[in-house]
Amino acid sequence: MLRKLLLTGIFLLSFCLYAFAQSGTITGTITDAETGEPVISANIFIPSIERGAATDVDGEFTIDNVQTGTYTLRITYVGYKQASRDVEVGSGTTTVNIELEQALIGLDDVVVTAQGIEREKRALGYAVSTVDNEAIENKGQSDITRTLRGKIPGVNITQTSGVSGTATDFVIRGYSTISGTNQPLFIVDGVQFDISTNSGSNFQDGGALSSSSRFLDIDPNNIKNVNVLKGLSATTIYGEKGRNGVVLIQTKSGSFDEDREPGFEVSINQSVFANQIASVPDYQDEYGGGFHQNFGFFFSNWGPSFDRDLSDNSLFIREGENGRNIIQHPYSQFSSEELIAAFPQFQPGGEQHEYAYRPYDNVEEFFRTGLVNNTSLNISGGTQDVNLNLNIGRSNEEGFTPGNEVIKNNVGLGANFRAFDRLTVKSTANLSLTDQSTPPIATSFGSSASGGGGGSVFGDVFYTPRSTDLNGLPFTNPVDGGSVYYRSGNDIQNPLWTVENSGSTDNVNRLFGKIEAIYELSEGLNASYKVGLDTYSENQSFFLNQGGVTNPDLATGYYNTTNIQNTIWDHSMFLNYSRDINESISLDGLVGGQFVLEKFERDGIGSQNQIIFDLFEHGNFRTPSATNFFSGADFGVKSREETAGLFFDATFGYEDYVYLNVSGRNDWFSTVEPENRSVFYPSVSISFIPTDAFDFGGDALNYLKIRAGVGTSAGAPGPYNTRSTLASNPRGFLDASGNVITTNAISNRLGNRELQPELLTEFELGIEARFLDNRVGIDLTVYDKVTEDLITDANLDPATGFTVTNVNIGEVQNRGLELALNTTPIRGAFQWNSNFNFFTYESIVNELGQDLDQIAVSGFTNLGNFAIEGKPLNIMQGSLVERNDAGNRVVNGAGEYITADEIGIIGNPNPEFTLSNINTFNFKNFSLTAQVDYQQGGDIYSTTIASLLARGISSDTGFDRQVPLILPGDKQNGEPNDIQISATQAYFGNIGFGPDENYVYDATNFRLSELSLSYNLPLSILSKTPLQQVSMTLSGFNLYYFTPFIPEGTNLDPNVAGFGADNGLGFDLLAGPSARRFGGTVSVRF
Amino acid sequence: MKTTINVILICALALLTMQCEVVSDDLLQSPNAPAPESVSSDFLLNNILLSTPTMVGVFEGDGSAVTRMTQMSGITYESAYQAQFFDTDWSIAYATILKDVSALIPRANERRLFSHAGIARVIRAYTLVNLVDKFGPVPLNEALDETNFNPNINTGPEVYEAALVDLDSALIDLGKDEVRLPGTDVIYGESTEPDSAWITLANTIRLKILYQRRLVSDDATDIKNLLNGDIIDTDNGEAFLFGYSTNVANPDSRHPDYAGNYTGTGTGLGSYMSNHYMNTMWNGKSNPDPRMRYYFYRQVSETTDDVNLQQCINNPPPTHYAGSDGSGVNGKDPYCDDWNDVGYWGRDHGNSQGIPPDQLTRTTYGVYPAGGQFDANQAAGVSPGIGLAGAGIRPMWMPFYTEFVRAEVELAINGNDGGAQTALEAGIRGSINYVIDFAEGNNPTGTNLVASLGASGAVPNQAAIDSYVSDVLTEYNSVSGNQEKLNVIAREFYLALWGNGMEAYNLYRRIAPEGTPTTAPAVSAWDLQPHLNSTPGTFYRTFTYPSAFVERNSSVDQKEGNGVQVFWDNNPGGFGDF
Repeated sequence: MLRKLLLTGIFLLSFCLYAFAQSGTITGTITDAETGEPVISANIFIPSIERGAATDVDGEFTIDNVQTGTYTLRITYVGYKQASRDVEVGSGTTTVNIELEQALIGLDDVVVTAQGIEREKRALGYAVSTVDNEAIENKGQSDITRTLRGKIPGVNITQTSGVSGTATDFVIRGYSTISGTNQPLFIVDGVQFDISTNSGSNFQDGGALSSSSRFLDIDPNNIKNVNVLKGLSATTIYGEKGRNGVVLIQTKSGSFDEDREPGFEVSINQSVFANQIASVPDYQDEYGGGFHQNFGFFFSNWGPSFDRDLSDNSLFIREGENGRNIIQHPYSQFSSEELIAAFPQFQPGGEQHEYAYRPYDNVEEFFRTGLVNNTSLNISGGTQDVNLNLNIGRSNEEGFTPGNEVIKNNVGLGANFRAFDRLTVKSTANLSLTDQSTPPIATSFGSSASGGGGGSVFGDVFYTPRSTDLNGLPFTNPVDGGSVYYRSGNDIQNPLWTVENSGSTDNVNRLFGKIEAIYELSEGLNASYKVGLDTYSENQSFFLNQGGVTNPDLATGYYNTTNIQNTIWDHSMFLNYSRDINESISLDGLVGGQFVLEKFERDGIGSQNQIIFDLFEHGNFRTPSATNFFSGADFGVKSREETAGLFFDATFGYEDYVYLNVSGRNDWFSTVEPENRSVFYPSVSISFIPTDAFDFGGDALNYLKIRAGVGTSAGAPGPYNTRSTLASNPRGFLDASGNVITTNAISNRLGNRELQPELLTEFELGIEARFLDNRVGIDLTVYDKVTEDLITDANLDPATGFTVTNVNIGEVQNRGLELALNTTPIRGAFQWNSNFNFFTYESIVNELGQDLDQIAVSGFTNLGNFAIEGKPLNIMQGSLVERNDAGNRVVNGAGEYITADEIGIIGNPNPEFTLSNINTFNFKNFSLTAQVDYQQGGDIYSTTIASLLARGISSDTGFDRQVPLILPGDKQNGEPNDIQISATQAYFGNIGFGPDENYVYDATNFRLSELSLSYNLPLSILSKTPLQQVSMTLSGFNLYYFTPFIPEGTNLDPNVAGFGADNGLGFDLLAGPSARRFGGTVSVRF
Repeated sequence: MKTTINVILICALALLTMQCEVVSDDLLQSPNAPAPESVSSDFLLNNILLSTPTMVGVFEGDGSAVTRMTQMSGITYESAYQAQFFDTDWSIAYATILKDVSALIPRANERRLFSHAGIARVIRAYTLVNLVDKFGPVPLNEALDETNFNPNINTGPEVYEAALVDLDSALIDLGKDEVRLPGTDVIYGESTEPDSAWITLANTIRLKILYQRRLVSDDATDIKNLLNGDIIDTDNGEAFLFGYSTNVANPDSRHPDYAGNYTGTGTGLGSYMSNHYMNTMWNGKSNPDPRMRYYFYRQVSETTDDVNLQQCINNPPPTHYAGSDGSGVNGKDPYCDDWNDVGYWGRDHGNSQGIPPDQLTRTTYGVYPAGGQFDANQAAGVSPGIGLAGAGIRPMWMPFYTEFVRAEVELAINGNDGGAQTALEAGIRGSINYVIDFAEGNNPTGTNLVASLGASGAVPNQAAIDSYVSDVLTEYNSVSGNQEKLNVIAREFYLALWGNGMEAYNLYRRIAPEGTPTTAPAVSAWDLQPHLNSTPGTFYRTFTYPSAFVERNSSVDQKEGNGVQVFWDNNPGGFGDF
């Protein structure tokens, strides 16, 4: 520390001394080489004396007090190639005019590749995509991954729902494994970063779909850039964790510009966004609650039209204004005497006994406009030897659902210290406090929460009958605080009660960072050691007051708390070598070793039988348990994994136009038996740049690079799958005498000692080119990735004595094409850039092996994503309508569809392709960005659609319901169906609810995902202030989407992952409304 | 350069040496669950015995539904059940009970814990027989082998024989001197002679196996000997049942039918009582069946006139229903709520309409055996904690079952009409008395529910019981022909089997009451209500194989249809398809 101070002092002193020497002034103009227009805000820098300046509105700059001598000026500006000019400075004014050549973003950049190696992009034999901070910050979105949607070809990003803080599925180049994770490795500032979604229980339980993915802990406003390494050629040396691609995130606090000017720079961002639900169904207002045109306080909305005379209904009281029917209040119809007594005002004779049978704006008014508030402060600067970055961010994001909120506080500090000539120490530390809360969210099949969950706020809201005055009815029983609602059996939990009395919380305190020491052994040879720590504690709770009705077993209240501790230690050592071997051959090499320790511990308590209402303390519950009520699993879980790896990477360059990269890694895994522990996987890639090797002449083809690579990797199984265990239950039963009966059983999971890591091989071929005077650039990649020895949870026939085991079987082949097309249709003062990202892939299950017909990947055993030989991975299966030999659907004697005996394929959720188009228009100080996304194909199974149709509530069902319908198909005798059924029957049991295949729709969608307009205050105004930059941005996200094949009134947004963030896709289980945001940002830098 | 390479080599070597030892070897056994070696024989036996009533509960539900003891929902038989519905049956039978039995037997023998082994064998025999009865041919020889993921099936007779062999071995094991008895026995409890109770049960299960297959094999002598020997009957032996408790949480130890229906919001979704079964008890004799207040609990005293609560009330009965023309009560097919006016609110066979808000009005399970409420005309909705609070029983083999079996055997095998009559009466009285006693203290908690309700007036008196018995015996003597007499015995057995639909399902397929209509109903002593749909498809002669079995096992295909008969059922095809 003392030494550091001393060095700093010496530096500052010498800096002052310069000022007294004889000096001159450099001045000049920077212009665009092509247009001749001045370049504003370009940076001019003299590295040797660490001085610099920026150009003004006229492109002019001045650096005065420069000691006489010869200097190299370096001029940089975003979008232009860096330029250098040697200048001899005399005692007067030296004028230098420099033209800058436009560069197409990214092509000649130095990019960060595996293990932090920086390489020229031209030397890479594989695809790398880079996204800069502008595309990430100030989006009113706490989840960094959601801001990346559509911005990187080859990456599919799906949100669990638009609820703030829910998980996100991030998949690079499609799905390659069945039971392992398909999520990429996240590396933040060079060290491994956990992105797990720690769901306390499964998607059917209250609160499970609200769990957040741990990339939520990254502050999007602290990102400098994101590099995505997609293929195995690029990721081999990351080891098995890199097999699904690697996302390299450089934070602002962890990145240091070695050549920056001394001093400090401060920037402040403040943004405010409104957050609204984007997917409220469009309801019809013709008909109200009931069934078969009979009025009743039912779930369904198949009652009579609002203008029909209800006088023959036993609930009818009188005709009100505008011919409206006035009927008895639903709360006068309770079966329970106690409920009747609790609400005297609604009973006959009571002042509020009358209830108007009319449409209410119930669902629309249930949701709110949430406010998203984000402040961030960034201070960076330092001296030649010490650089410090401090980033502080706070965001407060209110969801559109009452009770949903995410509060984040992030502090990041990075330091770069050149201790002495040969030793540099870098260190970053980030603190992240993320608090999320939401009402319970669980899957629903259109009748409250499914599967014995703890409730779901959405399940009971979306199909509220039009005649139910959701926001006007009392929702709390004044006697005991329980839920009350409109059905006589009081068997639906009132959503407003749910919001007030139930929910889940997820509070994370996280610390991550690294210390890295780099020692220069000799010219071109560095040794370094890096230790990274990523540790967090995550406290989750689910609470439900007594008086809920969704799950009768929880009617007396439930509270569970879980504490998770997750730690990753990441140690690496490297030797880095970089030297030109002779005039035409260069070598960049690396050897290293890595040891990663991952520890996970979870503990918790679940308590039933609440004593005092609304007090959530385990001491306030009579029956505590160490097992989760929902899953039946123990809260307590421990796991520890160790992985050791040795790796090398070498790039040989020949004449700067041919590059050969060879790399390999050997891993040792602790999760498999010793004999299967060691796996070696190599990769090789080549890059060739014909435009540099030969002279093509002209401006038609400016740049061409051809690259090819083959990479391999492995995928280790999760821990503890090789040995069988005992299922021990200390409290198997409590008999009538009060004896606790303990049970032991041989676990139904069969341990497999032969289990091995999965093996992956990927071929990749790419072309990068620029044409037409650099106006058009393409980056095309095709890949073919094969995963063998897939580690799979194979469900076993229970007759084997086991129900599931982990096996290595089969083969999945994943092929795809990704294309980035960058164009500049208009160049100059008014500039239009239009970039397209296209991605298509196909994952086919080539083989399953072991005589397995199919494997359930995600969901239920009879409904979900499956792996079936010869079919696309994740194909959806569910129940089918029975079909006859002619292939027609068959109806029964009642005219309704017959459900086939066995499940079958109901859809393919994999899209045919996705295409994004990002347009940027720049004029003077204005910049307009519009991003549109398009997805072609891909099926979605939706209980939202099913229940809105089945219950006759969306505008799709506003037709004349008196007319009977005939379902298309044949009768059992083969004749065409001519049996008339009522609209209620047709929709309730067949078109809406009914066999699963009728729940499936084509999810093709078009989306205006981003529109933003920003304005930079002109420098002419700023020059009189201490401010360097002030910008204002108005932006909106997910402003519009169009789904041609989804029933219009349901307004479903297919960007939803119904089973949460796992390997499944294509399911919407009434828990995934999406959000729309719009707002503004002000950024100030000084 | 050379130095550089040397440095690299040395470092690489150092790393290599380090890495190999760095990864621990002891991260393979899960810290979250004990290793299989640490299993306790006592706790393993506990799991087997606790899983047995669970299995019976899972198996019997479908048997009850197809035989109209409870209501079956499904426009056709095919659509009433999907293959995946039976996965639980398969999993509990094989992956829980049979696997744990296989693990326990060698372990127990090694430690000279012969009672453990003997009990495990009895349970295995019982489980195997249930599997065959429900599904037909099932895996046996190739089952429970962790190296064979596709075990093939054995025929029904083979599995039956294996069960008999198990019972032989069980008797040997139970006869040996063991080191110690099981720590707990959740079936027979603190019995002073626990082995003897299991020996009696082993003999009873042997009887069950032999008479079950009586149509296709000749075990007359063995059956006769067993009936005269040490078996569970009204004179001898403890019932084979499992007692639940009132504990609600951690773990819920109540009878599943109680837990699922006596909730804060009323009876569980889809739990409807069968109009047929209730009508047979209500209208079948000159007076209502004395057991009715015990079997069923009415939440209302009259059914509704609101079509929204019961859709069928305004519709006429289907024309294929007997009595749709208004003819007599006895033998008439009940329809909707036409057959009673006191609040018995059930559903007809195959009714698959949506569920209106009738959870607090429809009839639900009573005190026997679910541990629910005794029907003393309360006409009040259910709520958690009422009645026996779930401390019911799972009847697996009750003493009076044997009397009905004895009656069937006397009549059908021995041709002894008198013996059959005596046994029939013993069975009926045994059943009625057991049910009455059950509510008055002979239940797991010992609670006298009738006394605590002050409802002794609702308890049937001796005259009512006698009248019931005499009605049956009069009918028995009035009908002609063995089959019709058998129908009377079978119907009475059926009425005593409440809570064990598996035995009712077996009984129905074995007796195949003659005259049972396939399309147009005729009248017989045991005449089931037709399906609401006049063409309901094929009755389940065995149930569909579970989806977990056929989908995950490449050696097996799904059966050709519902009509595939279990080996001991040689009754005509098509019987039951109504």
